[in-house]
Amino acid sequence: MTALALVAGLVALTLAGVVVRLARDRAALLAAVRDAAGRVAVEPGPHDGTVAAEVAALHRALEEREARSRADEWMLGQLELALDAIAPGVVIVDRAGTPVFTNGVAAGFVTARHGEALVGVAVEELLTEACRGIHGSRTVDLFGPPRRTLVVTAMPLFGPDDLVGALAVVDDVTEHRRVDAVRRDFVANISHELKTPIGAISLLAETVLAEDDPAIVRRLAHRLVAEADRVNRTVEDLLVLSRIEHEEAPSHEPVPVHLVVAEAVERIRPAAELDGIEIVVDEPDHRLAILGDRRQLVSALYNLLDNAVKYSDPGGEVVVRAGSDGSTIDISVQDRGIGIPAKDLERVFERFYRVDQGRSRQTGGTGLGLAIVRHVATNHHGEVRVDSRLGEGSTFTLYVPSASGLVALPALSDAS
Amino acid sequence: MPEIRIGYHNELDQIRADVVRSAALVTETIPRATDALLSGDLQVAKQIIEGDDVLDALTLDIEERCFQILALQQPVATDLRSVITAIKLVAEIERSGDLMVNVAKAGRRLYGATLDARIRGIIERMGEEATRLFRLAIDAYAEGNAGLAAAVDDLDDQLDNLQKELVSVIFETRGGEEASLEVAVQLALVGRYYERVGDHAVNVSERVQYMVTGWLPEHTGAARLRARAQTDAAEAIDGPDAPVIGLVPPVDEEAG
Repeated sequence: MTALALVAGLVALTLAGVVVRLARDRAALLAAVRDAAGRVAVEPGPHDGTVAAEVAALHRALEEREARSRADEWMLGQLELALDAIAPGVVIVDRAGTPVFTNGVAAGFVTARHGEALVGVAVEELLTEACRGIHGSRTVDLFGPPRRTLVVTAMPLFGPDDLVGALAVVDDVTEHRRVDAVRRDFVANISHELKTPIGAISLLAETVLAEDDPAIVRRLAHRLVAEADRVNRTVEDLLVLSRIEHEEAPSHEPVPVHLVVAEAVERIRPAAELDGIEIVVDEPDHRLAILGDRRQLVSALYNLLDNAVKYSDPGGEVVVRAGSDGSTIDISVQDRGIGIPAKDLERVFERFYRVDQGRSRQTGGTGLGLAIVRHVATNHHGEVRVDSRLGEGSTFTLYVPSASGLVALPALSDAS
Repeated sequence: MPEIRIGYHNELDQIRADVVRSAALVTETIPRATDALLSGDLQVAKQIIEGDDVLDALTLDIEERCFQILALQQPVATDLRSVITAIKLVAEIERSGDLMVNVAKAGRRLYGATLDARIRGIIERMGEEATRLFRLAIDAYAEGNAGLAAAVDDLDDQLDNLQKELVSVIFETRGGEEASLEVAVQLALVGRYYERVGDHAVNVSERVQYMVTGWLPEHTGAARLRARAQTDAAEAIDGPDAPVIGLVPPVDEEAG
């Protein structure tokens, strides 16, 4: 009996121990599951507190989290692609200043040589500042070639609590600056070109009114006429330019190049002879022809010749040539004059742009000639280029597509 | 082979990048100085003169880091040559920057003088040529391209010719213009500054060839000298009457 009771007691004790251990393990397991769930942020749901329910919740949470991380990764990829596609350079660094993202454009500056390497330097310096919470911006003017202006801006990035890093953006503002300069100079120059002669006319007229000596009045009247002529020419050129600019479709008929050359040279000859400048015409092939507007082409070539004569020294020589590479006709005007400084080369085709304000008064030009040439070239789907050296002279060349057909004709015999 | 000295190689790359950056300061300053000189822009001239301090600081910094690498990492072979090349290059680059400061200062002294169009044209071209040479030399360095580096020497002739042309035009226009002797001397010096920048570009390119191949043009000269010394020694044995032209000048008994 005693033995039986003893055994029973032992079994009961053991069972109780097992139950107690089981309970303890379960509690530990639950705690572990809750801990894990806490880490993946399972919300305390309406589950009954059993292990199975907790594990199921944990599983769900894990799946959700994986899906979210996949979505995040996709989004990150999209953002990186987007930042690579935009024009400005973008660099993002963490709070220690280590780059975490550099888009394609910015990477080009970081590994660049020559002037562009200086943009990389500016980016690094501004980012170092930005990591200390300071906004910064710097304009980098590069002489190149090509000339460029870039603006580097850096700013600190603040998270919910504290500074998390910094961002630098590199903007190419070259074109923006150029357009600004063109607009600004145009307004200043046009008022100068029109105001100067008008002011002179008004002053001269006042003097004439107060003057009794017929000899002086006569002299003043001469100057009045000259100044009036000047305004007239400027306004006329402005009208020509505006007409050429707005002529959507100039008449497109085959125009023989040698006739254009002959007509323009004929028009400039009196002025050239007055200055003792010889116009040498390298007689072009009579088969060369351009599809376009004869009047416009003559006016373009005349303007080039006019400039060449004005900027040549007396006794100089101006050479006109025309040729073709089969598809494009080139008409060039070469002078041995004062030449154009390299930095002004790209701007001489702008309306009223002057390399030397002082000289332009003497030559009496309107400042619109080259703008007219450029528009005529554009109207004919061509372009005008200039090659110049200070003190050695300039060569302006008009390139326009040649008319088909005529060039294919057999060469005219010498007899014709 | 697994990369063991990552920090060391990063530092070598960083030094190379900084040498390229210091050269960028010069290639940007050349056209700027030319412009300041020709347009009489005293503001820009001042900026150039002050901006040279940045180049000086960068030069010192690169040099210091090269010395540290030599002392702490004991580089060998290509690495050693590239560190030594960097030390040599920063000196050439720094000197070129100084020459452009000289051009800017000449711009101050020439302020107000009317320069003949041909002289302006030649100076403009010298500036362009010097920039081109310098860029090529640095391209060769950044790419480790010995062929390109060798080409720089030939291209330098153009700059030399321009300098000669400038001097002859200065002589020609002296009579006609009201240019004073001072202006003429300044202009001749300016030509010399550009020409020297070209020479420094050639030096850079020679050092690049050394970095890549381990050969310097001076090696040819040194080999010639050795060859001459050998023939002289042989002649001395063959005929005792032959004049002795050796490396070491004969010791003067009385002077000792």
